[in-house]
Amino acid sequence: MIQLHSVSKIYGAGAGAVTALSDVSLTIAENEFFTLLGPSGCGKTTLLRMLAGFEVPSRGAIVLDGRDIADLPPNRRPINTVFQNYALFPHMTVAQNIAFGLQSLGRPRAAIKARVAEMLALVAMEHLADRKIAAMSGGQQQRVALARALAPAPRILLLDEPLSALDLKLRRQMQIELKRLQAETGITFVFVTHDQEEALTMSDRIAVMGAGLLHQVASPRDLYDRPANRFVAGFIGEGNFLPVHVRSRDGALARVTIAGADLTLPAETLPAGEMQALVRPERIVLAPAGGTGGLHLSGVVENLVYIGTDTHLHLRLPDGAQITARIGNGDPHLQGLAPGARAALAVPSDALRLVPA
Amino acid sequence: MSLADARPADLAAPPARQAEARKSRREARTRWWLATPALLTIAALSLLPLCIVILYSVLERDSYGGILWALSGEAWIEVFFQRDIFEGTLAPAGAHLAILWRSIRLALITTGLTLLIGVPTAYFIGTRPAHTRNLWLFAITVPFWTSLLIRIIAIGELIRRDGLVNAALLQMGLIDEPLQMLFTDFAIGLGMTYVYLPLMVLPVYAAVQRLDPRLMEAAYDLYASRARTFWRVILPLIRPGVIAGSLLVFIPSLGDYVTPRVLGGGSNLMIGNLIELQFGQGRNWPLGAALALTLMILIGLALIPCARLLRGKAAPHG
Amino acid sequence: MARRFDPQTLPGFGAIAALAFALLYLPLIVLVTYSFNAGDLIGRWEGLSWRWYAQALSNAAIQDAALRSLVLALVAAALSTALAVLAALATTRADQFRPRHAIAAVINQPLVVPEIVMAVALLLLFSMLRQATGLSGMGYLLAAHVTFCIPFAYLPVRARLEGMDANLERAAADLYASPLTVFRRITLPLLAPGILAGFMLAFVISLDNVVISQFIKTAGQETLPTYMLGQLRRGISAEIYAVSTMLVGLSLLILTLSFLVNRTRP
Repeated sequence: MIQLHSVSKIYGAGAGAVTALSDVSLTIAENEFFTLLGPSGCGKTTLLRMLAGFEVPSRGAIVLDGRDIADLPPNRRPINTVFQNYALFPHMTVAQNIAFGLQSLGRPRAAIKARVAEMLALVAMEHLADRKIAAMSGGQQQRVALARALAPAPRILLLDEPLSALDLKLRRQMQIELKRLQAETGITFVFVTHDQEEALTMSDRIAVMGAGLLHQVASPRDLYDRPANRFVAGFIGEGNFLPVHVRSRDGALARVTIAGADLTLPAETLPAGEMQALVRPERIVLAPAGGTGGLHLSGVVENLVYIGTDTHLHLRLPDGAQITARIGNGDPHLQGLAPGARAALAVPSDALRLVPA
Repeated sequence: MSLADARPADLAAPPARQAEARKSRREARTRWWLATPALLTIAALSLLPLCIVILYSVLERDSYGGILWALSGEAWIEVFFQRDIFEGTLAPAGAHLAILWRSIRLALITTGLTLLIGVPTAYFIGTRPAHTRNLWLFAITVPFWTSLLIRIIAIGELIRRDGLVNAALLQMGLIDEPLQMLFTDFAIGLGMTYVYLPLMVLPVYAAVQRLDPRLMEAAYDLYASRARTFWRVILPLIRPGVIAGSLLVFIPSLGDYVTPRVLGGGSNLMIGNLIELQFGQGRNWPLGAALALTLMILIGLALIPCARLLRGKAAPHG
Repeated sequence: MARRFDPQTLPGFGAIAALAFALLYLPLIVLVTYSFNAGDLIGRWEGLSWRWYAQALSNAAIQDAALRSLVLALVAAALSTALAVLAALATTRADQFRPRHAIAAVINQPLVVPEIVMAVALLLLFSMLRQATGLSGMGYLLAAHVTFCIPFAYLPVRARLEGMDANLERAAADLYASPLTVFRRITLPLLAPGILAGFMLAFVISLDNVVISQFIKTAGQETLPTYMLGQLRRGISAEIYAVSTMLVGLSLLILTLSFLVNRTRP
């Protein structure tokens, strides 16, 4: 188990100081596939480099097994990294690359040999053991990098956007492969990516970061269904954000107006302060106007975009806001809709999520 | 597109290609004309004279200087052996061999010392922040572009009997009387190390600059110590620069003439001085030519292992 | 707060670099310092003075050698740079021109021959020529200097040309410029810093040459370096230090200029 206690990182000093990471606390469990997700510059790489030992936190502690390792150099931490561009040693063979860490640790020759063979088998590269790195494809290099980092059996494996250099097909394949490796080795994986789909596919838990702040740590499903704030809701999946006006709040119920439509909701679903309503496009249905239960909206069709299984329906609401719905192409209400026509949409209550603005 | 459309284009194609061939021939001719003056100069004043050296090395010596137009292998024999004047028997030319050996030894020592100092220096410069790196590099090249002779005079000044180094050592109480450093092999080695150090630093620096710092990070991430990272990751990757630097230092050291003349005094000769002697007091031009070629051959021999080292494990950066 | 772990730092390398810079600069600093020494004895500091400079500048032999060295270096640099520019134009930006590597190798050939060998080779050639033609004079020294300066002038010119965008010349040609106009209005101005750098390098190389000049010169053809080498036999005088300091200053000035000029990348 590794814990970060109020970790901050500030580059420079005085007026020119830049805060890369601000007061981040989190706990990564044993044998977890944990992902740091966020746009570039959000601090996720800084965090990863602190775990690896290439950066030292300005404040806070990094605790592994009850010991603060924040000041420990990288070569004295039981943590290995799969680098973004793999950083494989170009002057060594595949097997020499994999053996490097074990040799550094001074393991006996026979043990190294056995472990290298084991690792080569793990990533299905036995036949390429004596090849030079330059002769490897991107996917093969990826596997070597994994085997090299896993060979010393680290407590934690850090992966710094390891799939970004691969094409889409190979990336999908490697996502499954990584998940399998994690399950087989039982090692805690800390994975950094800016690709939300990648994060949702593989992770046990995801930490969403933005501008040096940790916004939410949750399972993929919770992140999607119950985002903690507007940033998380906007970053994960697609969403419509509608203005919310709270008219009254008495006891257990609150009366609100969302995009011009009145609604009564359980008061406990309302966050404190300013808020917006998140509506996922696929949770919206085409329905006759004036139905009851949930949120009912009507407006003018601006555009219809056919995307294969579904159609994206862009609707302009009376208050000027635009809303996007994703409607299955089998829906009979879709027939006859054209730009300029009026259409009515319904959002079930459980598909409405009020998030702090 | 119909066949009828295609035909005129097909018919037009061959003349177009001929025009293109004419154009590239014309361009090639222009290029040859442009290169000719430089090529002729080098051919006449560098390649041709080298051929004359080869020729002279197999001619007979004229004892008043110059040569006689008769073939003779005597000069090559004299490089390694001396003939007894009365009996005509051959014995190893002890003086020549000693000078050859001193040249090789001093050139190797110089290469070793420049490696020892130059590689860390080049690495240090290569890992400075980008905006200060050029300044460091400039600082290395300044001594390189100041006259070799002046630099050798300067180092001689430092190590004279009453020079600054002796004065400092006396002051510190490390020695009781001044050391004789000038006019020794030590002086020659020190002088050549000083003079040729930039030739080691520059190519190694170029290689260091191409190093990917991620590879060092990867080594430390895999539990390597600083020493292990240097020997197993950094050094193998900058090896082409190290080999180039070693050659750039070894070649002029082996053939050096000015350094041993100024710092070695009259007695500590190297090949270069031996060659000069043959054209001066020695009046043995064929031997001088043969010695010059011996020097070229020694350099050729040094190139072979370097070429093999470069080819053997040349790893392109991935 | 602990220091960041710098994966590029190696312990002791900074200290060795400091030693290297001390080794490189200490002798020069001492030499320059003693050139201003008031005393007769080298090695004993007796206060600041210009006397050695005054003495050196009024020494007829030094004046003669210095003038010869400067003229020789100027002419040799100009000629070798002209040849090098033409050769560089012939051997760059021409992927289809197969012999360009061979031509470049021939032009760089003087770089791979030890100076002493080239000196001997030229001595033999010139002694044959002197005998055959009866001509003597500065021409021999000049021809030798031009030859070994060519590769030094060639390198920066070629580097500059290779960094130049051939599309600029194509664009000029596209705008109806004749090949000569393209060269005069586009290529030459863009190439100018490279040519200047090549000229300066060649000038410094010629100015500093000892070995080849020493072998080829005849009586009354002393250059500054050969004069200094000859004077060393009689023991070093502070006069030599003053001359050296002026020469170092000149080289430094030229090097700084070429550094500044070459900073403007194409």
